[in-house]
Amino acid sequence: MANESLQDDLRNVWRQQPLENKTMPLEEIRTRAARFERRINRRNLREYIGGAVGVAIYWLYLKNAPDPLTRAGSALIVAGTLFIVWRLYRHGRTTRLPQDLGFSASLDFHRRQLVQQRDLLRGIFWWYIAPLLPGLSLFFVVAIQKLLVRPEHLVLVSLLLSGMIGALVWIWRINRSAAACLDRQIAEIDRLEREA
Amino acid sequence: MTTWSVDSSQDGRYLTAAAEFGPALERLARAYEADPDRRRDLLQEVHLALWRSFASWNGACSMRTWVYRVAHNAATSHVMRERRARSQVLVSVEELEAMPDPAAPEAAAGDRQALDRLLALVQGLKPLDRQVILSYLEGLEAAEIGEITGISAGNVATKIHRIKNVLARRFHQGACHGE
Repeated sequence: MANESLQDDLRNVWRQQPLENKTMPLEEIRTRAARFERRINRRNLREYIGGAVGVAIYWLYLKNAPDPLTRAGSALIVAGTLFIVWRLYRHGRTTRLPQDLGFSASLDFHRRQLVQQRDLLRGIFWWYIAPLLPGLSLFFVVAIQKLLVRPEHLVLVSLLLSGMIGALVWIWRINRSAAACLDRQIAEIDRLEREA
Repeated sequence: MTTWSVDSSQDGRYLTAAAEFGPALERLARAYEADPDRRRDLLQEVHLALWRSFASWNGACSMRTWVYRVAHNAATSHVMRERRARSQVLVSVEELEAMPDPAAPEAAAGDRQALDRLLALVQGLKPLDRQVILSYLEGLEAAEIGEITGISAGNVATKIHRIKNVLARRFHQGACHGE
């Protein structure tokens, strides 16, 4: 009985807590909706412009590079950047909350969000880093060729190379570990769904 | 220039829901976000999501279920975004039940302190468990909590039982009224 009374007390404390009771007029809601949409569009535009600038710079390299290896590297960077921009275009709108929130029970919605994040983490290396690697590697080969003429720079080149590889392995491992953590949460939701 | 397809029924439904559930939505935002400024943003985000959602409401479930689903889903998105930014560790009701109790609350704790402790407890829970405890505190029945969350009635009952245990251990009788 005492426990039931405590539960009732806590519910009362919860429901009678002081509130600001601010309402949002419809006009403000519409303004915010439009502002939110514009913000997403501006963010997408910034990413496309960034991609376009990158493509333009490497296009200039491509046109003016003295040797075929640098030209090939520039072409690969341009292709990689275009791929990333295309990927952003296809998936850039996923940050907006869906309009059908009320149709999904929280369990389904939460699972969808976790799966989306996990897939993003799993794939980030392949769609954000890997497309630039072939072009960057060719630039690196060109740099090594030039530096090998002066062997005293060999240590520096080795350090740069191992640093680059180390950073990529680190990024890959961090993302893999975060994805595994999300996998465990998804498995927990699947267990609850099986019991539902 | 973005245009929204708006009909009067969307506006009307939103206004009805906002009038009826406005206080509950504010309490919900408080349970999901401790920072006052971010909480205001979250509450606006929930209202925005609710208004947008009524463009596709078909009456298949009660308005209360719909409102809570939309609000919890929008707030869960917020928690997941913020958690990434703040590296916050959330626990389940089961983990909370297994944890040793914090230092015994003072018997003279008043409603304000009880509310603060309740909020701290709720804000540290994983999203699904947070939805169950919030719905319980709002006085929803187990069947409706199941409809909102998608968790089976049996699991909801188990979770509520555990929630009651945790609350009983952390708040003793009289702590809510400053006795």
